[in-house]
Amino acid sequence: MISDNGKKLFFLPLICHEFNRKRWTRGTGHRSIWRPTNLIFYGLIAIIVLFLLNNKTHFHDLGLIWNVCWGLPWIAFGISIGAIRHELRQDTVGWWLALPYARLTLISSKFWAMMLRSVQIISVIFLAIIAYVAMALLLSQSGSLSAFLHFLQRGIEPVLLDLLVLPLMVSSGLTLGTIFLTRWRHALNKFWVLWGLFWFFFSSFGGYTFFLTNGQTFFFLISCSLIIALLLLIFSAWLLEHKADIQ
Amino acid sequence: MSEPVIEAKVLSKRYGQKQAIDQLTLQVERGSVTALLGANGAGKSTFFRMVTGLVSPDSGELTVLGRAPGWQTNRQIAYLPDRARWYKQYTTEGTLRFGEQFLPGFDSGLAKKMAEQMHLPFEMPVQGMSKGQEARLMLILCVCRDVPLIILDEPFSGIDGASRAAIMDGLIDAISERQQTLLLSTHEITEAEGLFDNVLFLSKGHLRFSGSAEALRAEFGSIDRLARQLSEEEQL
Repeated sequence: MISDNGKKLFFLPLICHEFNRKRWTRGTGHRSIWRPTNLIFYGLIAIIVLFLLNNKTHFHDLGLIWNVCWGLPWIAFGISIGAIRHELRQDTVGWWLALPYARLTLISSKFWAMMLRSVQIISVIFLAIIAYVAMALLLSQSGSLSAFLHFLQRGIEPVLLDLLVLPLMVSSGLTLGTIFLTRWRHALNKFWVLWGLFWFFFSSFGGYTFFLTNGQTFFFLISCSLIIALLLLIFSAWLLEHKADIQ
Repeated sequence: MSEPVIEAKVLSKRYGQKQAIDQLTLQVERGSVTALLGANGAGKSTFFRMVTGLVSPDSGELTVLGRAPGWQTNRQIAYLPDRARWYKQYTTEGTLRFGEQFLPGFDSGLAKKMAEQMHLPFEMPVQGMSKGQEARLMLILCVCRDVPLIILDEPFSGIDGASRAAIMDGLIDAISERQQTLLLSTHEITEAEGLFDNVLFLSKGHLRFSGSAEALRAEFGSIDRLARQLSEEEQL
């Protein structure tokens, strides 16, 4: 934790401030109406899928559910962009940037808050998948404890990979969000084109398979992701310090 | 004149095609209540953002409390940004705790007293508050800080008459007790001009007019009348 001239500890409260921020929607009744509606809707969808799976496949390849994990780092990426953009949209950016702390401290507090938020989301989805599959196996005639354990074993790798790439995804999101606050925001459309092309070629040339099957490369990738994450945070702090363009 | 709390020398800032600040040179006297006046787009908010280190000037020199502006100088500045809103999930109580945790010089005892005087609900989140209540809460965050410089950018914007009066009373109470410099911008000149010691008029990013409020009142009858006169001249 960082000490402010040895008097006050502020970094942890700053992380809590960022972590507890909720996405605010205009109109006070919005949240209260839609939350239970969404819950019922997704609950019904889950039950329908469960019964369809049971009828069609008899739960022979439940491990396919773990493919959900490929999308989870993108949630972290999205909420990290939002962490900065909401400051602008909710007219709190002036308060945030006028806080008497170094830009790296401000951006780092958002980084840790978004890391925690992402871990929270991944954990909830992970538990939901386990509960869902446990229920499915109970309904299935072929369900057994060993099938359940096998299913869990298949999930460890993608979930672990999700957690390990989080620093890179969160810092990338924060950097992109920061660019919205600078005069470089006009170049963002070009960035998205390059970003799309990169992922297209990465998957076309078997990038995913290569990294997942080669153990050493896998750890090299993780080390790189941590180093790049740190560099991106420093870059974001530099952008806020020197290129901020808030009108 | 004592050492200025803010000194700008030939300051310029451009946003794309728009020259927001144009060769601006001015000083803000220490311990004074200084009004920065001018029409919308005159460069007032941009100047405040430069003073608080939110944006950097393209050219020129700016010193705040004797040094270049940045996050370090913000320890000594209480700043209410233009069109600012407060974090929706915070209650009054949570906001005062925020002030205590993050804003140097924040006097939570005084803040609590002011919140009671301004009839702010302690348990209600900002999301449920009126705009006037939210504005009062943000003002408390600024004026309850024992710092040498307070900057308020349009503190009365979009606020009803009753809230405006409450904010004004709070402002007078707070600044009369401390030796602070208050720099504010407002379009509600009639109601606020009793506070002013000095006035700076900006027009199209440069200083059009400056002087002591007393002298300007003696010459033009009121600051509001002078502001209207300058605005009419600008439109011609």
